Amino acid sequence: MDNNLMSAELVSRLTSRYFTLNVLPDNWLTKVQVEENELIYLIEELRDDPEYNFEILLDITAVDYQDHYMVFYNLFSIKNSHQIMVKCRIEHENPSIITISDLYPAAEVMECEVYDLMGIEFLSHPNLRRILLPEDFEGHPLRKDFKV
Amino acid sequence: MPRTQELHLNMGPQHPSTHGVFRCLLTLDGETVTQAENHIGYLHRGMEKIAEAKTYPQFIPYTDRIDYLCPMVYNQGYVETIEKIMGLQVPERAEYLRVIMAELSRMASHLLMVATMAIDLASSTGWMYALREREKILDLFEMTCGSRMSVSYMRIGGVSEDLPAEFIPACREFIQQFPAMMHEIHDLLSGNEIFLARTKSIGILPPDMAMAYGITGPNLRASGVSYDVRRAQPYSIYERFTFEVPVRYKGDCFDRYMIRFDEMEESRLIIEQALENLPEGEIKGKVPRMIKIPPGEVYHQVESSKGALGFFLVSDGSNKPYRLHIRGPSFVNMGVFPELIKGWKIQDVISILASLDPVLGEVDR
Amino acid sequence: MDVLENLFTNIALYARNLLMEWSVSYSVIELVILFLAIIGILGLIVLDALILVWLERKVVGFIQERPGPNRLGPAGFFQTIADTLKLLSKEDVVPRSADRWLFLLAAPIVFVPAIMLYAVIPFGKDMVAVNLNVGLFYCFSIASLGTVSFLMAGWGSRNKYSLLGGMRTVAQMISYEIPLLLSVLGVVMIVGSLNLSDIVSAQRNVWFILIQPVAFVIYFIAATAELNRGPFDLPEGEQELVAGVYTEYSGMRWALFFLAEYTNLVATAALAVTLFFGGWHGPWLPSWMWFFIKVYFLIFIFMLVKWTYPRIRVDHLMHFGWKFLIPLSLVNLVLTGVGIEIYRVMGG
Repeated sequence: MDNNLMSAELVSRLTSRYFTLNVLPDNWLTKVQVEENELIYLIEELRDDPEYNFEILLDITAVDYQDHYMVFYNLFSIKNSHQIMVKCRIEHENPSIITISDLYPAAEVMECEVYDLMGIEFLSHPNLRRILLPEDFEGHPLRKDFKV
Repeated sequence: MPRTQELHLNMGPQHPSTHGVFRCLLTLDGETVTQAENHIGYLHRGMEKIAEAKTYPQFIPYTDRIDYLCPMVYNQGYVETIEKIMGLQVPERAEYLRVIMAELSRMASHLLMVATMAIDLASSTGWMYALREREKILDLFEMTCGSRMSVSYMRIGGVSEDLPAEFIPACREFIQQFPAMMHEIHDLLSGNEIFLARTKSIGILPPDMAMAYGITGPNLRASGVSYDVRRAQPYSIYERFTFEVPVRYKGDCFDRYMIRFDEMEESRLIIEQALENLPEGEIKGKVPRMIKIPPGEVYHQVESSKGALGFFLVSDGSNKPYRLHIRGPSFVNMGVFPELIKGWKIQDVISILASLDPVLGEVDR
Repeated sequence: MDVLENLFTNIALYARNLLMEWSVSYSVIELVILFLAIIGILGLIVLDALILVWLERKVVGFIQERPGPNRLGPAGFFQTIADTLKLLSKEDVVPRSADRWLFLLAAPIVFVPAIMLYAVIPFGKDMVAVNLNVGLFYCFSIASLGTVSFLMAGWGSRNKYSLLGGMRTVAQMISYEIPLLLSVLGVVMIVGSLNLSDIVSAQRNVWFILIQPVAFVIYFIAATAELNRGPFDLPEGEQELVAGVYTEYSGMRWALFFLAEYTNLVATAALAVTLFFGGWHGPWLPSWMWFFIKVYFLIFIFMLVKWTYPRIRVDHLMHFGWKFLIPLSLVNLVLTGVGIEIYRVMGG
């Protein structure tokens, strides 16, 4: 299996520009963790800088680690054939994060899904609603404390 | 242009052409769509939550039911995710069998897309012709694993059954007569004046819009972007085969329809090569009876018939996934649908929906 | 042969004689004969529908390489009867919010003009219920009445799909009425009469399809649209409008629409045969048999078209009607006039 890592030079450029950015080891794709306040700038640069050129937002998802949530953004560059996973840690109490749906319209439905199933609020999202579950559903099933 | 009073129309959830239980709230001016909003979730089964309560092998049958039209690729995506994080080696023969089955499944799914496209444009004969061919593929599945739709054929580390003796001649015969059958459908449908009027220049999806909305798979390639997971991030043994990534440039319904034929042709070539080089040997690697995965996380993508299918697995060291996220390509593809149908007639809404080829089992998961 | 040829006329003659012997007054005899003719036509319609439903399913099966109905009776012939019984036994559902009277009346009303068409069609030699001298005119004026019931059904159902279907029907029927009429005018100009029997007898030597091929093509297309059959079945529009105007109808009321569709199909085909295919003229076989052979052949072509083509889009339909069919039929009309004049000058 081939990997889709970014070149070391590009990664080091990122670490030099973002204070909170940590590069995590992974064999197949570039994986970085960033704090919430830098997230939107990072993603904007990843999208717009021709050397990164991440045209496609593949995925947004979140994991409940019981003491915190982790939101995952998966970006892919068709032109450069590299993939990056951006992780962002958020608090467990009233979880919320800024939306990236103005950068990638694709994020709109994905963020709705995360909100619906995980209960993370995406601030300034144009139409945040329960997308899969009924509107009067109580709780967020993918949280670990959700009783089935 | 004079405007009439707006009419709100719920297309679905009970509607013959929404490919399942999908509801689109249309705002109409006469017959022209001015606003649209997707409402999905009628088929939500909580797959991701179910996965957290099942052991790793137990979840394989569920993957069939995510996209029941292309089950083999979903099997493959799931088991490969686990093999990737465990570092398992899969025997050669099993890899070839997986590729053959996945490509057959892709053909079946594309044939169903062609069929539904035909029936959605009220050509029920086209539907019958395409379904007739799909039946032959389902027969091949039945021959191999005893099931036609929910196959659950793949296992962690290999596949469940070896090929029966009659499979290879049957598959060869199917492969050989396939181009003639495609020709038949082209004769009936693809050159038809009404069909062309209903699909050409309808629902144009420009490449930048397609990428911004995260469209993948044939729908993206019909807009002129050559992105195929099999080529961009090769998995399994796809590097060994020579095949093209078909691209069309207009991004209208007709291109999205025709690209399915191009892809079926490529799948046919891959199957031909795989049958040619099919090695003898084991079909299942050495896998521990109790599958426990060390803590970690992995993201794995395969190319399903609808687009890039991603599995994101977080493991905590137990025998059950801590979190399994499935990136359904149809779910993301449907995000562009309300934007795409604005300004078109109701009848175009149907052809655009058919050309996007969503499968609601996977949209809702 | 003569027995068969004159079968129906003889029955009428026999009944007339019988009544004469009972010394019934003349006007009553005429009424009774008319009544018999109506019974005959109704029987014909029901029989036709039974055969056609079965035939259509068989033809579709043939086109789509599947057997079609094959369980009940020889080659599944009794399937239609079973289906009819099922439809009869179904509940007649009226939606609560529907406009009750419009909803209930629409189904019978669609059926009435469909039957009325048969009054003037010459089924065979001397076999016409009412020999009207404006028969053709009557046909078209009656046929356009059907539109009203579609609008009633669409409006009365209070369902958005039905409403859209109803609106489509009206737009479509009004647009296609014009080329339909214009295409037929060529034939009328040649014959110089609106009486259908006269038109048939004018084709003793040569069928009008040879003189007016363009008119026939226009007639065929416009008639398909008038019949709401595929590829012009927009009022039903199953894939877009669920079932269009029929969405809320169930049981026998739905079956009436269905029956009316087939009745209209036969009437349209019969009219086409009368106008373009020499009516009941033909060698060897009895005239009425020839008539039905031709009608069924045309219906077969209608079926082939329906099951081969996808559905046209609503605005394309309008464009096609107004921008192509109407100008073409006008041109055809002018050429026909010129042709007749040349023929006359040449001393025909």
